[in-house]
This record gives sequence, C-alpha cells and structure tokens, in this order.
Amino acid sequence: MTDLRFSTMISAMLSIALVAFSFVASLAAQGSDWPQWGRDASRNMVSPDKGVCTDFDAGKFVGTTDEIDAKTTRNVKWIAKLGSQSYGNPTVANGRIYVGTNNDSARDPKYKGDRSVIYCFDTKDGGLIWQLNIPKLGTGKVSDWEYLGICSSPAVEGDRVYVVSNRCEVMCLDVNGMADGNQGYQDEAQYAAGPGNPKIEIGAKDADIIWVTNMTDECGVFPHNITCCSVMIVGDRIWTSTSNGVDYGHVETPAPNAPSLIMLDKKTGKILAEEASGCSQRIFHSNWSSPAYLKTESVELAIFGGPDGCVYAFKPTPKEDEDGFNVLDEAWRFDCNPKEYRVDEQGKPRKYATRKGPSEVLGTPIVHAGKVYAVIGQDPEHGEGIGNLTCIDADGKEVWSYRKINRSMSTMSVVNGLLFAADYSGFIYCLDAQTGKEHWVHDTSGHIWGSTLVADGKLMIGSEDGFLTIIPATKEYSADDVKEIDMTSPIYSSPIVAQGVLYIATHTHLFAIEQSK
Amino acid sequence: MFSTPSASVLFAVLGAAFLPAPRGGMNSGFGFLSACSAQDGAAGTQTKKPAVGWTSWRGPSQDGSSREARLPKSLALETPGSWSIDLAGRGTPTIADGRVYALGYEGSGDALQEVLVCLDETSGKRIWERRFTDFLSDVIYSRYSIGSPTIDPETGNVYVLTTPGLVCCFTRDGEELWQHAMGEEYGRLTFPNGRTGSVLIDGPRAILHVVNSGWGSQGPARDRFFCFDKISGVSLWSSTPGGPPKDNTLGLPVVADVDGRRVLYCGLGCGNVACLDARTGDTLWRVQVSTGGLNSSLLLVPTKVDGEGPGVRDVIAIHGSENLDSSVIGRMSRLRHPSPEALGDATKLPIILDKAAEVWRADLVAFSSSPVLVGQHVFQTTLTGDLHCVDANSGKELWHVKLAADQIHASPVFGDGKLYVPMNDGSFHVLMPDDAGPNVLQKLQLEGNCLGAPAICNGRVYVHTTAKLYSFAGGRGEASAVDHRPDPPSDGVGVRLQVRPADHCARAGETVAYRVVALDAKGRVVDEAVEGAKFSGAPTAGVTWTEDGAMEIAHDATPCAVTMTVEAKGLRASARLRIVPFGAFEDDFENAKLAPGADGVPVGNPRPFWVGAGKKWEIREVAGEKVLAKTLDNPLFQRTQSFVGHPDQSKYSMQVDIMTEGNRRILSTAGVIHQRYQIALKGNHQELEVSSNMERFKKVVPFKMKPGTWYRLLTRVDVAADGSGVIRAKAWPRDEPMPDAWTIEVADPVAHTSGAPGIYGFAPQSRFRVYLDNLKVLPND
Repeated sequence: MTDLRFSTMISAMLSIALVAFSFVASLAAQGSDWPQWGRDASRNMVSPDKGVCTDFDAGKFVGTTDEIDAKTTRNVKWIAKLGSQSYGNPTVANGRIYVGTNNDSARDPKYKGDRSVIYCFDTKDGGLIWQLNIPKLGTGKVSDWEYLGICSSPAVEGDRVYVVSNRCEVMCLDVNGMADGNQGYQDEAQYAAGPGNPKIEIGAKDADIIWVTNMTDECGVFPHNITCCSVMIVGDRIWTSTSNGVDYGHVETPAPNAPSLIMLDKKTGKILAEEASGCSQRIFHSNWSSPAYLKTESVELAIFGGPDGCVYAFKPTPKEDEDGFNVLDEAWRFDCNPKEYRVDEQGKPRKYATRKGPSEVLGTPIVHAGKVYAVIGQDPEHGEGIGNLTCIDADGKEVWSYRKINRSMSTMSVVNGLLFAADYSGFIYCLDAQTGKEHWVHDTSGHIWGSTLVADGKLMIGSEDGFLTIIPATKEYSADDVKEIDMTSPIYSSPIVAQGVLYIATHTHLFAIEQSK
Repeated sequence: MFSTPSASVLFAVLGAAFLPAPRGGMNSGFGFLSACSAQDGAAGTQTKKPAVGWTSWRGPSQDGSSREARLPKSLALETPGSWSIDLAGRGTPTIADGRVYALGYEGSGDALQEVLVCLDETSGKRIWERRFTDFLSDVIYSRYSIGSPTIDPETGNVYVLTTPGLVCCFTRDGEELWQHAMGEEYGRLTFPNGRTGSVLIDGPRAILHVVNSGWGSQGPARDRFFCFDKISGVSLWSSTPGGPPKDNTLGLPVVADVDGRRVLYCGLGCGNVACLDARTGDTLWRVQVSTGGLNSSLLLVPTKVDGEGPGVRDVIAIHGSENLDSSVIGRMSRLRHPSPEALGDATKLPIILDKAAEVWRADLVAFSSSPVLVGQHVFQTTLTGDLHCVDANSGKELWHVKLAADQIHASPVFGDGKLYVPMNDGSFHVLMPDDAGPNVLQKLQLEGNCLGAPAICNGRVYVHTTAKLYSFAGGRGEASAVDHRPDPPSDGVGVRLQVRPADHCARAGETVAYRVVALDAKGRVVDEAVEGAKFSGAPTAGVTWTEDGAMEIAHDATPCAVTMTVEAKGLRASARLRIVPFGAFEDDFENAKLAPGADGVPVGNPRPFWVGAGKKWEIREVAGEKVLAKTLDNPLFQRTQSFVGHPDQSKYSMQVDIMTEGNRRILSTAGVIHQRYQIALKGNHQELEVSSNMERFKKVVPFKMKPGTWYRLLTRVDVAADGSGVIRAKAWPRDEPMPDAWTIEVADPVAHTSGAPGIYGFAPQSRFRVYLDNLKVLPND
C-alpha cells in the first residue's frame, strides 16, 4: 500500500505542534508531587495542594489542524502535544511529568507508525526530556489494540520509574533517560525495533531501561486488548495486575492458569509471588484494575479489584504452595456484585455484558480510613448497565453499598467525609463516606472514562465529550455552581494536581494549568 | 482444449461417495437447491413483480432519504395501523410489494437462531420465515442480525447475508434459489462485533463486501468484493481493491453511472475509499482517508455546474479512526471524483488519489453511523450522540444537537421534511430540521437499543431495535418505484473476456460448465457466449473436458487451486478454481517438499487448495515424520481455522493426530472443523471441546494432555431425520489402544446438516507450536 501520509503536514506538526510552548508567566504554586496513580498507594484521588487554578480557557485549534492557537488560551502555563489517543494518566515527581500516549504525533522520526509511548516532560515548560517508544505486539486488537498507546500510569520513586508496557511487560526505567548513560538492561536498540527487526539507534532523549519482565514468558499471561495496570510501590516490592483476559472470541480465557496479580522485586524485576486464588478461571473480560494498599495498625493488605467482580485482599508476605511456588496469601474476598446481578429471578445465571448482568472491578479500589471503596464496571464497548458502589471494612465485610450508580471505570475520591464517584453513564455522585447516604447527583450528559479529582475544594473530572466539569466539593449542590470547560478533545484520563499545577491530558494534548501573574 | 458452448452452468453431482446434504443451517422445511443450481441468467422461479418501496437499507436514493410525502410528524404504537412484533434485530427492514423483510434473531443459548421474516406490511403478520443456526462464528453478546435483507427491484427476490456467512437468495415466497457458504468456499472471516453487511443488488448482479483469507493471491486477509449473477449465484468476479484491513468494515456500496461505466464506491478496512467497476470488479481509483477502517456508507454528491462534468459525483465519507495528517480522530470529508477521461486509460488504473482530492473536511467522529443527504445538507450522528447538520458544499457545520450519550451503528433517515433519528440508547427522535436548527418534534423511547437505520414506505416509518420491530403508521405517503437499472446493451466491440464462474469452489465429482463472455470497454456484454474459447488445459489430474465444454471432475481428482487462463478472439482472461475433496481422503504430509525457512529449518507450504491456511500452517519434520505445524511467525495468526473440503459434505468422520509443545504455563490447542463444529484438544484447559459458537454452543469434558506427546482425535457427527444430531469425539494417547467409549457426546437439537472439513489451531501469543498429522476424512459407515 502506498503511504499517503501527507509529509508536508507532518513536517509542520513536527516543527510547530510538537514543541511544547509556554504561554504565560505563572504564579509558582507550592504543593506536593503526584508520583503514582492515585498519588499514593491508597489511590484516593485527592490532592492537598492549594491555589489550584480552575478558571482558564483551553484554547481553540488552528483551523482544521491539531495545533492549539496559544492566543486563544487563558491561564494555561504550557501545552504539550501527545499522540492521537491518550489513556495513560500523568504522574509528576521531582519536576518531571510522565504520561502515556501513542506515537501518532511522532517526536522522533526514527519511530514510525503506530507505537506506544511514554513521554517525560519538564514541568517548567513541557519540554521533552526523554521518551520510551515501544513497538506494537502485532497481535491486532486481541492483545495490543491499534493506537491505544501506553495506558499505564508511571509510578516514580527516587531515580526509578515503573510502568507496564503494551507488550505485557513490567518495566523499570531511569528517571534521567539515556542522558546519564545506559544502565541496567543494555539492549534498548533491539527492544525499540522489536524482535527480529534491525536495531534502532538509541539517543540521549530515549529512555534508559533498567529491567524488563515479560509477563507472558514468565507467567503465561494472555493479555486482552491492552496491558494497562498502574503499578503500586510498597517498600521494595511492586505490585501489578497482569491484564490476563479472554481470547479474541471474548468467551474463554486462553491462560486460565496465569495469575491476575503478581508481586515483583523492584530492584531486579524478579517475580516474588503471584495470586493463586483462581481469578483467571473466573475472568469476565480482563483484569485491568490497579492494586491499592490497606494499612492499619493491625493489618497490611494489598487490595485488588478482580476480573470476576470481587475485591481481593492479599497479605504482603507470600507463602509456598505444594508445588514450591510462592503464592499470595488471600486474606479475604468480597463480591461487589449483589446476588441478583449474577442470577435472575429464576436462579439462572445472568449473562455478562447484558445490562442487568454482573461486572468486574475495573476502576481502582481506594482505601481511606481503614475502609475500601470499590465500584464495578465494564469495558465501554459493552455499553451502559447497572453498577454498584461498595464500602468494605478491613476484615472484608460490607459497611454499605449504593446501587444507584451505573457501571463505572472511575477511581474515587474521599475527602472531608464525602465520597465522590462517577460512572460511565456520565453521572457524578456525592455520598457520605461513612454511611453511603446520597447528597447529590450531577449529570454531565457525556460518557466518563476518567476519575474524579478533588483539589482545593473542587471536584474535577473530564468526559468523552471533551469537557472538564468542575463542581464545589461540598455536600451542598447547586447547578449554578457547576462549571464546564471545553478542553478541545475527548478526555479519557484523569486530571491531577502537583505542586499546585493542574494537569489535564486530553486525547491529543497535555495541559498545565496555572494562574497567570 | 474445448470450445465453450452457450449452455448454462450446470453442477451435477455424479454418484458422490457421500450423499450431499442441503447447504446451510436452515430448518425451514422447504426444499433446498445446491449453490448455483438455478440456471445462469434465467428467471428461474423468481417473481416478476417490479418492486416499489424501500428495497435496501439505504433506501431508494442510496442516501437515507425518502421521496415520499405526507409522513407522520409523531410516532406512536397507539396510532391506528401501527404495529410491533417481538423480534430482536440490529439492521433495517426492507419493504416491497406489501411485504416487509427483516433479519432478526430469536431464542437464546443453544436455541438461538437468526431468522429472516416476511411480514404483511399492514398487520405485521408473519407470512413466512427462514431460520439459520450460527456456526463457527466469533460473534459474542448476541450481536446477531446486523445486516439487512435486500430486495431485487426487478424480481422481488430477497437476499440476505447471515452471521456465519451464508449469502442466500429467496423468492418473494421464500423459496431458496441459491446459496453460497462464504466462509467455507472463500475463506470469509468472522468477527466478534457481529458486523456482516448487506447484499448490493445492481442490475443483474448481487455484490457482497467481505473480509476473507482465501487461497493464492487471495490468501492474505483483505476487504474483497464478490459478485454473483443475482439469479443463478454464479460467480462473475471477485476483487481486491485495497490493502491489509485494520477493521472489518462491511459498508454497503453505493453505485452510479460514470461515462457509460457502472461503478460502485465503498469504504475499506484499510482506510481507503475505493471505486470499482461494478461489471468487472476492476479497481478504478482509491484514496486513503484514514489509518483505520471506514464502516459508514458513502454519499454521492452532485458536483456544481462548473464541476468535472455530468455523471460524476463527489463522495462524502466519514470515519472514526486516526487521520493521515492530524492526530485528531475522525473526519468527514468530501472527495473529488476523478474525471471520466482519467478513468479511460486502463493502463493507468487504479488511480491513487491523494490529499488534493479533498474538497473539505469536518472534524466529526463516526465509526459506523452513516450520513444522510438532503439537498445540500448532510445529517450525521456521531460518537458522542450528537446530530450534526453540515453544508455539503462547504463542509461548514450549520448546527448540532446532543440527542443521547453516544451513537454506534444507527443512522437517521429523512422524508417529507422530517428527520427520523434512532439512537443507541433506544431513543427515537423526530425532527423538522432547517438551516437554523434541528426543531425537535418528538422523542420516543423504544424498547431495546437501536443499531440500524429506519425505513420509510407507504407512509409508515419502521425501526428495528434489539427487542422489537416497529412499524409506525400515521402517514399517507405512497411508496415510489425503485429504479431497476439493467445493463444497457453494448454498442461497442469486445475488448475483454469474463469467465463465468470466475471464482469457484468445486467438489470432486462435480461437473462445471464454463461460459466465456465478451465485454466492451465499459464492461457491457457484447457476446453472451464466445465461441472458440480455449482453456489452458486440465488444471489437475482427474479433470476432463466434455465435448459440450463442461469440466468433469472425477471423484478421485487431485485437489488443486489454480488460476486458469482462457483465450478467444485474441483476448485472454482468467478464472480462479479450487477443487476440493468430496469423500474419503487422508493426508500424512509425507509427500510435501521442504525447503529451508527463515530460521534455516526446512519447511513446506500447506496444501494450496485449503482456504485460510497460507502463512498460518507449515509442514515440518518432527522425529523423522513430516507433520503440519502451526506457525509462530506472526502473532496475528495465532488462532486459525482453515477449510480443506466442501460445505456440502456430510455423514463423515474425521481423525487426526495432535501434539503440542509448551510448559506448565502455556500449551497450544488444535483440532478439526467437522460439519460446522469445532472439536479441539485444549492444552491450557486440559479439555476436549465441541463448539460451534463459543458463546452459544460449547461443551467440554476434561482431557489430560502433556506437551511432547502425540494424541489421536476421532470425531463423528450424525444427524437424524428430525434434524437433531449427535457430535461425538474420543481422544487418547496415540501409542495406546483406542478406547471403546466416546470421550464426549454432545446432542444438538438443531444440528448442522453439512459442512466442510477443516483444521483448527491456536498457539496463544505464538509461543509454542502445535502439530497435526495423519489427517483423515472417513465415511461414517
């Protein structure tokens, strides 16, 4: 096939749109980093930062291009161009912001076509520091869907970045990229090219891989659609779900004996333990949920939203099974699907992917004040359906549940005794975190893929329609107080705040929002 | 060598080893005809009444608009004359001559069947129905019946494509005239999203858009168009207009006359908009507008007075994937048609257009919802559930309104100043749009989801949901006649030949009469039967030509897949022919010729007459024996079904030896396709499985298997007179005696009565090879 990409337009993009541009001299805000998905292992989507700017204009495109006209923005510190699809939620640590996307707006001409990317930008101006650019698996939609890019949110600790790749790998990267030389893993040139292809020369603005653990080779995982967990760092260990899932036919899991959750040594990538609770024999679709960590005075548990609709709690110390393998010790599991979601009035099993049928745990369960909050949901391709929000105590017992919510992929926020949640149908909920009592519900009219963020007294969330909805994070609600900002492109990730700056990734651009001087 | 007679194609089954069964999974109780059994070009038993109404899902103007007046402003089942029936569906009903045809599905689980219903227009009463049982499809979540029936305006015959790929032609009264099993004959692929598409009827042709992986040059998976004689089902041409598909885009083509040619336009899975000659299948031009597929149907827009000339229309296309020159997803664009003069030089075809062909663009996103053209206004529902009104001349958006949270396949229709807009959430909107806005008249909530487009006929508005088929009365419009465009007679000279059948799957024991037709430069028929046409010899051992020009294929003919050439009057043409076994056969692969492969290890190609096997299987030597191995080179091919026989075969058993490599984490899976059942040893699951659709029909029993050990699998299917059947299989370590008892026995109350033998392999993530050897097809008795 003739490649009809219009080279002149690409050149224009490379020379203009891909250069992040600082728009305004901004007021430096003080605050904290957001170094991993959910900010910390509680995954509670709340930032303590103050002075967050929510009065801004995201600008307009120049004609029918994908370049945003700087003159049409307001209170935008800088904008960095991403690919065409960006599901990887940004994280910020030590003056650098990391975000997953695809290669559709290639920043380096040696990387051509559909690939997956993590960009490391400077938070001062959005300038590129380095990128990890990964070839596709070549399986097609079943295991590495075209153009999905990196959906994992990088976790940063010290001088290391941990991320899950589209190739079903857990990776450890150097925060400095290749600028300080190649450390650890040495075959980046072959990795970038893909197995069997001529090597790609690696430069100073490429990622430095420290180690790679392939979950298919090591555990037999059959990833479904995309591997996308945001890993959790606890001590010397990192935890990740595997994205083990169903086959192309969506009925059967080809790898029923592969684990859905594993724990690795963060220094070496060696797998230390795996879930052996049989999750993979009960997978509805895939396991994409990211783990959280519950720590009280009496217990420490890794919390995992299962692909079968249960929340699992595993003790952090593995035990050896009868075959000599280290397995995670299951402390408890809680079925987030009410019985009537699994069986109908006649006692017959309800089919998955039907409106009234059961769902997996897709959003990340969060931990707050010794309790776990979880929602159930499904791949948006399955449409809307009934959901359930459950509050579970540290012993795995239900505290309360709220069934008015629809299917949800979102991760929640608890602050000041209020729980904020969202569902795929586009509703935002404010509940009493202790009792589950509903304070208010807001309809955004658009599908919601991302998660709530509460910062500086405001709740923020993006929608597929491309709007950022901002609502006072109080139990009182007035439609007059709801604000919608047109972000120019669909939003499939979640806003974060770090060092007082609001970051929002649309499908195509990463915005840094800060009040102008 | 022979001279082709003017005789029509006749397929005779001469003393087949096994009695041929009716084609298809139908259980209608009606008589059956084998594929192509009607006479080529003859009227057969079809009805002669010309059709009026809504004969294809895009309507009489191919653009979603109706010519009827006095249509209802509000829709209600309470309106006298309105009716609804309980029938889940995802397409559009078609209406002609007082009858409504709809493809739906009924039942659940093992009992689920697609059903083509013929209903009385005024009452909704079922006049006749034809049922189809799914087989070997990847369809999930009951995503059945996405395609729509098409009515031939000339004959009233009805055409339908079922989920597993049976393309069928019925008379107005439900008698089947012909059928092709596109999967088994041509390697049509199946997809979990259930998209099937509809048949295009154009003049004497029935044209089908599929994605297939066949044999020879059609081995690589591509969007392909297959054209059959609409009366006989004889293949007229097959065509590959684009490159590797990224999506299964099965949009209905639109047709037009361009400078004496009959051309069709369609979006492809490779992101191209393509224009083909409808009479020959030649690709005339194409332009890539997306990196993904184009599902939506296209619009043809008259050019301005100072445009390229009469008869040439621009094309409006929309997609929801990545663009070539922007990272913003999705685009509607208007594309300038090449001049007729540019199409006149056959040596420069196809013309590859580029960005210069784009007249305008609009940032709209739609994966499969199709636009509607009303004058210079284009109406389009998009991903986020918005309805947009776009000026067809400038691309400027006049307005948009949000009607629902999202939209998937459903499309609006227009009639009598009103726009009827179904949405995915089951809401159905009536609007009276103008330049200023949508002017919503009514929002109606239907039961189920809307995925098809409405239809308009005789003052009624029809819409199908996943729960019901609705017919809303209240209008007083009258259906207009649908144009029938017979091919005009040629006034030129013959410049090319066309062999009929052009692309055929023949079974051993069959007799095929070929006819060679001469066409002029515009593809019009000059000579219906060219005298003195000479074929390039017998394609394989066991094939002879009769004195009257028929090809006789012996029962023991050597299977083959060849492209034959024919010469007459100084012209040459070709025809694709695949001859498959029809009876007992076996293959131990020992006669395969091996040559060093990419890794230096000797490998051989799979049998050329198999469909869907190239690059997916190879022959290797294992422990001194030549065996069939599942390839690992391309993870896209990790899961493969390949057919080695004919879809009419029945009453047979199969035997094959299976061995997988692997470890405690990963083993591979392999087995056979047997009369539309897949019977496999599943390594990772340690099971023996019988299935026909993984969600609908699947039974397993435990079966322990280890890597590196050969197992033998024996299968048998028996179908009783009442249509029920039993699928049996037994497996055991090859070195041990065969057990007496069957390992699994599965009853199927509505069994598949015939189906091609085949093989199946699945190497998860392409990690470990699985091997087959000593493949046998045996008579049951």
